[in-house]
Amino acid sequence: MSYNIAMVSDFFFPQPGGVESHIYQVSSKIVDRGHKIVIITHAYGDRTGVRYLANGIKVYYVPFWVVYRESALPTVFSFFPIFRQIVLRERIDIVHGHGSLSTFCQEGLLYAKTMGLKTCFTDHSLFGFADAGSILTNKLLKFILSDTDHVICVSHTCKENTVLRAALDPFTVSAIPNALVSKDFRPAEIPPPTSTITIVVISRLFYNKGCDLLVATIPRICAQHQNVRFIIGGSGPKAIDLEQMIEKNVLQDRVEMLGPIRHEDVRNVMIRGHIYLHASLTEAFGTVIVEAASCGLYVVCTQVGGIPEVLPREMTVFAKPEEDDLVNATSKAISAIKSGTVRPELFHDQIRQMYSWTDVAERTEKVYDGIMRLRSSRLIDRLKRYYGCGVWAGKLFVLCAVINYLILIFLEFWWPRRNIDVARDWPRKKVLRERSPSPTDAEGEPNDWVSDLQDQE
Amino acid sequence: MEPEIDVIKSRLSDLRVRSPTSSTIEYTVTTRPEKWSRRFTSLLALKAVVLGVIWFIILLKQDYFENGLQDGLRNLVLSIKPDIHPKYLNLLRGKLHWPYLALLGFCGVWIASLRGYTEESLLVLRGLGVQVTTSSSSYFVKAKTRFIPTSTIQDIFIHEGFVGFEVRFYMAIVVRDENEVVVVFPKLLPRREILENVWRGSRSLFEPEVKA
Repeated sequence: MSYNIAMVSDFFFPQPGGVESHIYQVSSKIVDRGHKIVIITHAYGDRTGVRYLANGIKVYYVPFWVVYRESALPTVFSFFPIFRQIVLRERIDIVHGHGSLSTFCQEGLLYAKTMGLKTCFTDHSLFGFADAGSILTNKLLKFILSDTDHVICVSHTCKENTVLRAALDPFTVSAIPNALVSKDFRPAEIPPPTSTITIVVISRLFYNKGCDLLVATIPRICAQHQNVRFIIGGSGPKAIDLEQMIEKNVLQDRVEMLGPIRHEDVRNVMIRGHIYLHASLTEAFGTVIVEAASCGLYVVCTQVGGIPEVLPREMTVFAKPEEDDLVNATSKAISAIKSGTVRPELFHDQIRQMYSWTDVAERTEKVYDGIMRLRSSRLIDRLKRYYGCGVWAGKLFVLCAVINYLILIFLEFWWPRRNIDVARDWPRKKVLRERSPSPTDAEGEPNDWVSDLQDQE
Repeated sequence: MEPEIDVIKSRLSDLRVRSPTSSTIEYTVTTRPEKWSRRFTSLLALKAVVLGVIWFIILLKQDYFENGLQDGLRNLVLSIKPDIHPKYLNLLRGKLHWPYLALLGFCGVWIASLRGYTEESLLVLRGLGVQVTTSSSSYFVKAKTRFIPTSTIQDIFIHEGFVGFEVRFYMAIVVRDENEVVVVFPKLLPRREILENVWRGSRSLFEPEVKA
C-alpha cells in the first residue's frame, strides 16, 4: 500500500531553515519508500507555480500574500479552492502539516478534515503559555489539533509541550527526532592540534539562542584559559552586543566573528574547532549540536528543552542556563580535551548509527499506516470536538467548521470533481516494507522504478 | 473536401484533428456545439428572439404604418385588459429619436454577430513551423494568429499552473530570444488528455520529413 501525501507548510525552500530542510529530507526518503509526496507552500517572490525537485517531489508554490516572517495572511477560507484542486488532482490520502506558526498548515489541516482526508501534524518548536502571542497560537493550535489524527513532535520535551498546549491525548502524539545527512558532517581528516583549544559557536544571534549568556561567559573563559580561541558564526540582532563585548575586553585576536554562514559551509567552520558551545535558552531539538558532534566536536550545552535527549552523555557537558555553570562546564570540557579523556573524532560513527533520515522516514511511515487504519469522523463528531475547545472559542470554531463545509458544497457545485484533471504521477519506486539493511543512510540503492502510468488510465 | 480524421470529445471542449496533407496536422479545440444539437438550436433560438424583439421595437417606434401598428396594438391591449392605467398605454404612443433606434439596431447586430463559443487551433506544418490561432468573440473580428517557425522553437511542453482559483494544465511553446512562452489554447486550456494528444502530434515537427 502506498500513499499520496501532501506536505503543507509556509516554510519551504528557497528560504533556508530547519523546518524547510526537515520537510525536504523526510519527503525525499519517504519517496524512496514508494510513496508520493506533494509539497504545498506559498509563493516566494517570483517562485510561483508548480515545480519539481529531485526524486520527483512536486512543489506547489501557491501565489499568496505574505504578512509576517514568511507566513501567509491568515484567511480561514480563501485558500480552500486551490487546496481542494491540488488534493483532487494529486489524489491525496494524507495531509501532513508542519510548523505551528504556519497559517498554511493550519488551514490546510482544517480543509483536509472538511474533505474527509487523514491528517498529521509535525511540531518543530516549543512555545510558552503566558504571553499574549502564545495564548493566541495555543488556542488556534487546540482548534486545529483537536481534530488531527496524529501529531509528531521532534523530541519528548516538545511532545510534552504540545500535549499541554493543545490539550491532546498523549497517545496520539509521537516523538520522532530530526536527523542529519551524516556524510555532509564528517570530522576533519587531520584533527586540529590541541595546543590551542578552539571553541565554535554557530547559531542565529537572537535572545532565545542565549547570546546574553555568551556575552557574559566568553570574557571569563578567555581570562581563565590562556590558549583558548572562539569562532562565532551567524547573524542577528545580538551580533552588536557580542562585538561590543569583544572591544570592551580587547579580545579581537581571540574571538573571531564570521557573520552569516550558509548551511553547506557549517561543516568547514565546525572542523576548525574542538568544542562546540551551545548556550540556547529554549530549544525543541537542536539539530546543530548533532551536526557538531558528527563533525567530531565535544559539545557543551545548556540543559534546556529537548537538548538532553539529543546526544549521549559521553559527547556532552551539560550546564544550567546561567553564567557560572556555563563557565565551569566549558572549563571541564577544555581540560577533558587537553588530557585526552574524550575522543570526539569517534563521535561521527556513533551519530551515523543514531540519526538518519531513512530512519525518520520509516517511523513517519508507521504513523501514516496507523492513521490510515482510523475511520474518518463524521461532521457532527468533529463539531462536538470543536465545541469543547472553549466557551467562546468553541462556538467560533464550530462556526468556522460549518462555513468551511458549506464552502466545500459550493466548490463541488462550481468546480465539479469530474472536471478536474488528475495529474500524472512521477514513476514510483518499489514499496519498501522490510527494514532497510543498515540503519545508516542507504546510498547507492538500486533504482527500482515501477511505472504506474498504465494503471492511471 | 478534407476528411475529419478524429474527434475526441471531453467535458467542456472537443478536439478535432484534421490532416489535409501528409505533412500538416491541424488540432482544433472548440466549444462549438454540433450542428442542430440542443445547445446549437437553443443558442440560435435565443438570438432570433432577441433580434425579433429589437426589430419589432424599431418598427413600432418608427411607425411605418402611419399609426396603424400603434393603434392596432393599443386596441389589442384594451380588448384584453380594458381597465389598464393610461400611463402604460402612453408607452406605446409616439416616435423615438433615430439615434436611440440606431443604438438599438447596433446592439442587435452585435448580438447577432456573437459567436457564443471559442475555437482555438494549432496547425503543425512539418519542417516549417506551427501556427496558433485563437478565435475572437465576434464574427466581425479577425482571429488572432501567430506563426512560429521551427527554427525558433526551442521546446514544446505541457505543465501545470495556477489560473484564478484553479490549477490547470497548459501546453506552451518556448520561442528563442523571447522572455515569455507562447501558451497554446490560452482561452480554453483544454484537459490533459487532449493536450497529451496534441503534444504527441506536435513532436512530428522535429522529425525529418518522410518521403512517400
